[in-house]
Amino acid sequence: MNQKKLASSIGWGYYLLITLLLYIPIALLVVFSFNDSTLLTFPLKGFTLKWYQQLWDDTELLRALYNSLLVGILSSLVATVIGTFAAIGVTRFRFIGKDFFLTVASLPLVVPYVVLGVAMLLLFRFLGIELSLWTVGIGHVVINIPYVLLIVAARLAGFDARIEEAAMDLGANYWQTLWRVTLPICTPALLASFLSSLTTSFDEFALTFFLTGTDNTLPIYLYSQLRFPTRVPLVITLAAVIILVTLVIVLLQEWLRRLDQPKRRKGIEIT
Amino acid sequence: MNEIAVELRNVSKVFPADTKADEDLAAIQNVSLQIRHGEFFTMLGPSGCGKTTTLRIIAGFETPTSGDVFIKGRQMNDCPPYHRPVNTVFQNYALFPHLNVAQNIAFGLEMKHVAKEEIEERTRKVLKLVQLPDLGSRKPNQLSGGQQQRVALARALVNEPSVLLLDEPLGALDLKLRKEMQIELKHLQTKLNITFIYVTHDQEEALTMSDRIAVMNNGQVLQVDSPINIYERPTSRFVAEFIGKTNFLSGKVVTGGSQEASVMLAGEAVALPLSEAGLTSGDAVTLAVRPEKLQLHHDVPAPNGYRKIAMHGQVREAVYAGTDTHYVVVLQSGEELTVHMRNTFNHNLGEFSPGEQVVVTCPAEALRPLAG
Repeated sequence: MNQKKLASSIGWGYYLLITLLLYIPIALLVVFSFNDSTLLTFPLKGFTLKWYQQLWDDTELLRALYNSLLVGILSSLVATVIGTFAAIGVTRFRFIGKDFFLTVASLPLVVPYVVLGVAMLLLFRFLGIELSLWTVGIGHVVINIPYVLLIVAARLAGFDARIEEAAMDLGANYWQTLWRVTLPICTPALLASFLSSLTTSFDEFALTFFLTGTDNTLPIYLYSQLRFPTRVPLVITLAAVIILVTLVIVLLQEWLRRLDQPKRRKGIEIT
Repeated sequence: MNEIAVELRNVSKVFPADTKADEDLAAIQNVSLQIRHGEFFTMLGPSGCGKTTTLRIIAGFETPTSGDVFIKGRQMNDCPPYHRPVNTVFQNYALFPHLNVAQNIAFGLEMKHVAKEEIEERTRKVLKLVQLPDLGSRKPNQLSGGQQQRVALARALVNEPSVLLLDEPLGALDLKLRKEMQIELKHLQTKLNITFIYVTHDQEEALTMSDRIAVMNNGQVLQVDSPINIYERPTSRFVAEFIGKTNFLSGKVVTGGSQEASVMLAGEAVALPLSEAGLTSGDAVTLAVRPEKLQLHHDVPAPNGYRKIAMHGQVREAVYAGTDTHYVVVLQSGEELTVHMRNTFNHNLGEFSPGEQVVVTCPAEALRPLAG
C-alpha cells in the first residue's frame, strides 16, 4: 500500500515538473509583456500596456503579420483541397502505384524542412522563378498536404462506403455524391485539416527563410528583430498575443475533432 | 403480371486477386434467373454464397465479368446505378448521417428534380406508409434500429422503383421486431405491387415471405422454386439440408422405371413412385425425408388407402421438445433417422422408449430422390 502511494506521488511529481517546464516560459512571456522595462530580469519594474501600444503602432510588424495570415490562409485552402482529393483517391479507388503515391505524398513528413527549403530554393532558381510570398505559399502547401491527406483519409476510411452507394442508388452521379454526401460527412475533418495547416504555416521558419523574397512573414520578422535589444519586449509581447490566438485555434480544432466522434451517449438516451 | 422484371443470363463475377499470391475469387458462376413483375423473389444461401454479389450486380454496384443483366427488357450491364429503375435497402441501412429523416427521404426525388411541393407531399405520405409520421426532423443517430430500418425502406420506396432490392434488411433487428417487419414488408409488397428481390440467409424468413426462392451455394443457383417445393421437393442434398431438418437414406435401385422404381432401402425393398426423372436399375440413390413426415408404430400398421413405406428399427433416444417429441431410430442398416412426432391425441407422451423395437412409416411421396 505504501509503495503504491510512493509510486503515485512520484508520478504526480513528474507530471508537475513536465507541466511547469512547458508552461513557466509561456507564463514568463505573458508576465514580461506587461513589465515596464526593456530588461528581462526580476524584480519587475511595474505594470504597463505600452508594449501592446507600440505593437499596434508598428506598421512593419503588422505588415509581417498580414503576410503570414495571407500566406497561411491561402496555402491552407489549397493544401486542404489537394490533400482531400488525394485522400479520396487513396481510400476510394484502386490504382497501380498507390503505395508509391502514398510514400511520395507523405515524404515532407520525414524530410527536414531545412533540406526541403534548400531543395525548393534550387528548384525555383532553376526554373527562374523569383522568390516572393508566392514561393513561400507553394512551400507551405507542399508541407501541409500530407497532414491533410492523413486527417481526411482517416475520416473517409471511417465511414461506411455503402452510404455513397446509397446516394448513387438514389440517382446521384459521382460528383453529386461527392458534393452532397461525401464532403458534408467529412466537414469536421476538412475544417480540422485547414486549421492544422494554418497553424503550421503560421509558425514555419526554416522553409520560409529559404523561400521568402523581400517580404517577411511574422516568424522571419521576429527573428530579425532579436538583434535590437530595445525591440525585445515588443517581440515578447507579440509572442504572448500569438500564444493566445494559437490556444484558441487549437481548442477550436479539438472541439471539431470531438464533434467528429460517434455520439455514443446520445444513442443510448433515445433508444 | 407475368412479364419479366429482371433477368440474369449466365452471369459470372470474378474478383481479381489483390496480390499475386491470392487466387482470383469467383463470386458467382453462370447465374441465370428470371424474376417476374410483382414477385417477392428471395435469394437464400449461407454467407459467401454469392447472393449479395448477385444483388449488387442488379443494383449496378458491380459489373458482371460475363453474362447479361436485363431490367424491364433492357440490357443494363454497363448502366450506372443512378440510371437504373431500381432502389436498394441496404444492410445496416446506410442512411445519410448528416441529413435528417425527411432530407434522407427527399434525396432521391431531389436528384430527379421533382418539384418542392411534390417532394414534401410524397415524403409525408411515405413516412405515414412506414408508420413514422412524426419523425421527419430527427437525425438518423437519434432513431432506434427498427426506425432506421423503416426510414431506409421509405427512402427507397418514395422513388416508386419498379424493382426494390433488399440486402438482409432485417438482419440487425431483434427476433420479435424481425417477425413484425417480415409481415409488414410482405403487406407493403402486395399493396404496392412492386417486385421485391430479397437477400437473406434466414431460411424461415425466406419460406414465410417469398413467392419464389432461389437457393444459392458456392456462387451457383441450385434450385429456384416456390417455398413449398423448396421445402417439400428439394432436388439436391444441399437444398434439403440448408432448409429445415432432413434425414438422408442411401438406397440401391433394384428395378428401375420412369413411373415407379423398386429401391433397396435400409435392408428392405420399397416401391417408390417417381414424379420427375426415372431411375435405372443398379444405380445408387440418396433419398431425403423430413423428420415430421415420419411416424412411429409398435407394429406394421394396416394399409390405409395411400401408399406407406415401413422400415424396422430400434429407438435410441426420445427427447421431449414441447410441441413435438424427437426420436432417434436406428434402422437395420445401421442408418439413423430423426423422427418428430406431434404431441397430440394419437401420440401419447412417453409412448416409445429407448431400446424399443418400432416400425417407421411415411407416405412414399415423402421420400425425395436427390440428384447428387
